[in-house]
Amino acid sequence: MAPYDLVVSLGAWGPGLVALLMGVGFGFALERGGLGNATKLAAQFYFTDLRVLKTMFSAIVTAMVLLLIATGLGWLDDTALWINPTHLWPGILGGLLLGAGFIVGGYCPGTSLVALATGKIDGLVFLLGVLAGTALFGATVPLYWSSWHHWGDLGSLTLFDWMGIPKHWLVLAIVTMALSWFLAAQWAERWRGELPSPSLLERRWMWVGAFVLMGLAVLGVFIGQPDLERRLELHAPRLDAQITARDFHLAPDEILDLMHDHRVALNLVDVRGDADFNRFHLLGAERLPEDTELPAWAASSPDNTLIVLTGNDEAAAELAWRQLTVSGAPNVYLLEGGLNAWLERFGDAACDTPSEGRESLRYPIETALGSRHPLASPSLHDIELRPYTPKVKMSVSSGGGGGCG
Amino acid sequence: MSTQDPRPYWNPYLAGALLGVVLFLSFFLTGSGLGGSGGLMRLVAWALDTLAPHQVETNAYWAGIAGGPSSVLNHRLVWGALGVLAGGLTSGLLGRRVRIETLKGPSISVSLRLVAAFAGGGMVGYAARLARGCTSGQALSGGAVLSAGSWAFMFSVFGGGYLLAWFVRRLWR
Repeated sequence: MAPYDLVVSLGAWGPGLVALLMGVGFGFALERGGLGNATKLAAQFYFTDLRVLKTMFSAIVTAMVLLLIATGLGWLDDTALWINPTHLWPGILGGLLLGAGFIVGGYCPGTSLVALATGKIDGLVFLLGVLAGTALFGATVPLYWSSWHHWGDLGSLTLFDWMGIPKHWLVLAIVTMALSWFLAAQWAERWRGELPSPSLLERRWMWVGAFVLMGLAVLGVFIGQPDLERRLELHAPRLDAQITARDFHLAPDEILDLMHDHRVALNLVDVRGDADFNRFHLLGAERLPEDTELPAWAASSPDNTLIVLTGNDEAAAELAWRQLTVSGAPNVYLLEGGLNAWLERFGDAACDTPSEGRESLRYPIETALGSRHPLASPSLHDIELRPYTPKVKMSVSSGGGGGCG
Repeated sequence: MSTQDPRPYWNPYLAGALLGVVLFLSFFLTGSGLGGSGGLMRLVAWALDTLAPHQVETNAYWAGIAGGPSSVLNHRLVWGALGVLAGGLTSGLLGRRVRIETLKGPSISVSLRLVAAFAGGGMVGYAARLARGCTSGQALSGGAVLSAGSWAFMFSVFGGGYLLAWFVRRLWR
């Protein structure tokens, strides 16, 4: 399933080569559309030539609809896509300033590269300005570093999660909105009267394009997006291999170490039923949400949080690990051997029933102590940690960084 | 350079559809979209790291980018920016639109146009870092995958442009 690990499939230069080719396509399309020309770009803001809006939104809805169909059919893993994290207020302020700089300078960074490539001196000078502004940002951001970092930080929030509606319905709504904007743009250009009106043939092709786009969006709604069951099926080969390799099974000692490491945002999640949870759970553990709430919960888990799943044995935690992983939760691990192994490792109570893998708590905890049990958070003073090979690798985010990051 | 007249631009919807297919392919093959300012930012980081390594080490922002053993320039966004130059040049040559010139509105001088270009570029360069991306990496790429912040950014860009457009109309009209 796409996307691909380009280092594996093409070698060390794979990612650079593909990025270069994508850049060529990007620059080519921008120049074809007239977006390497400052006067054409600025005309957007005087309603005389709306090609910025037309090109940009055609590109967004085309890519959006193709992505919707590709993830709907299970060809593309949507949890591996880089979703620009939302930092609302720096984004809005930066957007306003960027729009102001756009109308003063006539370009944005990508279009000024195209202008430079086609010999435009104003493009080169604009680009030098961008480099200067970038350097100035680096010099001044330490003065307000924490507000830049945290102000309006909502994580990888998508519009459809924020609105609580299925992705495919939102895509259909945005396509409808874009097409109505295009109609309004045609009307505005006619009203301003500075462009020749499109020929009959051109108008026909524009309608064909609109119908194809709408048709693909409707198709995307019919296909829908894979549910949890289908996702588990699609990802089964990868998940089976990872379970077998035990890359995500953490030794009790590593987890105890993490519990006492204040640099780590640790989220312990208990996958068992009420009775066992009330008898004993790790300090700070929360319950796993119901199946229906799981995907939204997983998607909203912050990138810097480490999730560790705990069951009595391993099977239930492994199932939850699969469900959370395919729902897009980053950094999910589970307790090796379950809480039975935890109690055996840190406690000295004898095991009453030596059954393996029955997902029952095998230790005699008579009263419902929950996390008041001493072994819910053993002190590092009382316990000599055994050496372990650390398995936790915090991934910053999937997709390898953002477009401009 | 061509002495013949430039060919007309494509219909913008057609150029947009092509751009959308490229953007989709980028997500499909690599998991990430396209970028414009990121490559330029890495060029600045590289220059600072070469000229004033001490500045980079003591600045949290630059250290996060240029610190560490890997080369700051061997990054997909730098390759992407080189590709944009090559693709723009190719399309420009095919359309006979490559020529050394300064594009400006009819009622200002070349030197005022260049001063405005530098000032606007400075604002855009600062803003793109503040917003963690520009029209390409935030608006276009984040917009296609429906990032909430990218859509807020996109509307702000249009808002900022339209708010100021009337006041600077002499530059373009």
